[in-house]
Amino acid sequence: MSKRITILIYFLLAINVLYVLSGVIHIPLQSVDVVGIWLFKAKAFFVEGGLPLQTLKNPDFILFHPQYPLLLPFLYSLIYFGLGRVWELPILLLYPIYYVLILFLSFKVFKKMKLSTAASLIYVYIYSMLSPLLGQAGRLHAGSADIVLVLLSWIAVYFWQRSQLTKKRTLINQSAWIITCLVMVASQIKLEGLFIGSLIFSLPLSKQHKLLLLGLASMPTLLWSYLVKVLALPTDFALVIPSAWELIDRSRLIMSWTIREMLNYKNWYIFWPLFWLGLTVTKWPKSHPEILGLAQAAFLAAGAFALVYLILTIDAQAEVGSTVSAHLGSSIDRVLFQLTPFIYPIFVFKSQQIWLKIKGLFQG
Amino acid sequence: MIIIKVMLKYLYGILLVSMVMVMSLRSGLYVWRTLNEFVHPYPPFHPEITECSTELLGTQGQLRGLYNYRSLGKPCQKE
Repeated sequence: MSKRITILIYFLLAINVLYVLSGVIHIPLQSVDVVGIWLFKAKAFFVEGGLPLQTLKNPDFILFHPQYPLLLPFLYSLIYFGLGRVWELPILLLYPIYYVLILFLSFKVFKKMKLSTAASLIYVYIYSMLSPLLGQAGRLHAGSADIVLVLLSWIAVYFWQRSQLTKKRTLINQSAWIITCLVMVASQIKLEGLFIGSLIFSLPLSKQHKLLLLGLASMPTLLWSYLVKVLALPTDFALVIPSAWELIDRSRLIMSWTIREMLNYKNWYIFWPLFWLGLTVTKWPKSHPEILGLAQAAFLAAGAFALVYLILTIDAQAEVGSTVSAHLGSSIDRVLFQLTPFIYPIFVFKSQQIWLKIKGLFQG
Repeated sequence: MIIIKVMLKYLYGILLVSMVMVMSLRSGLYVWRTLNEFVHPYPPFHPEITECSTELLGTQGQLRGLYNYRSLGKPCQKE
């Protein structure tokens, strides 16, 4: 039976891979973020033959976030330099590869949670069907940065899990350093890549060691912020301390947009309602501290995102509520997507707990 | 309370299985879409937006982004 399920799920996963591959090849380039930020800057690197200061300082392009870190556009521009021309397809073809790697890593994580191959594959399939992942893997939004952050997060979760399941100091230290390096790289793709560092807090290390790693992980972000000032790059948003009333208003908006997105079945089916239901009807087992640690990391990362929304100003001239609302509306799906590497293993764990209970009830 | 929890667990199981069933049906739709994309490719996205096409200067949003992207590096006349 489980062999048949395994074959069926492999077949369904192959359909998804072909689906995103077909999207990359056939859907014309049109995503605002891809055309406006990521591939735009990669093209600018190629056109200017190096750091595209002329483009970044052009006031016509201010809405394309000139202050964002440039690692991803730079890496993609290397492909253009290698080819000697701007040709997007080789870059876009990387996205189905990211998709396969994400699914493979999630499978490895579920297997380490002692799930059978068939059960692991079923959960991988559910994850593979979520629209934000399919979208960024090749359906309309290939070329974005969020899926790269999600891939780095899954690698970090994999090594974090390894550090939780071993008692060997060398393996723990090795995992900690790898996670720190991943945070450094992720923060130079998008600043929120820094939030992957929430995993460092629950590593089995001393406080001093964790502080050292967190300090190191945030070094590229500090260096980039300094460079933005030195290079006098224009910024289209800033961080402010809002009034108490504004904070309440923003908190309300964050809550309502998050709930609205969690109920958006077109993106998530009923994944989020099931996640919350799973948390409600099961207990946190003491024998699995790693799941609690992951929940702590997810909570910290979600809190960091919420904090950014609370103190971010997008357009100081516009009415506060309306701009934050517009920003939330266009980005909350990507925020939830970026949180899935932390949250999905918890969902899988809780789901397994419930299945075992149901099975027990049938047998009992 | 215990009965409610047991019922919720059953409900969870039913919903999870239903979600997987719906997903597998959707995979069928993806097969159809993929095949269709090979047979009937999408038309180019806004082909009228060419490098330095002056009639689109001043537009905003997605079209403007596309215009900027396609015109980047070309010596277009300023607005």
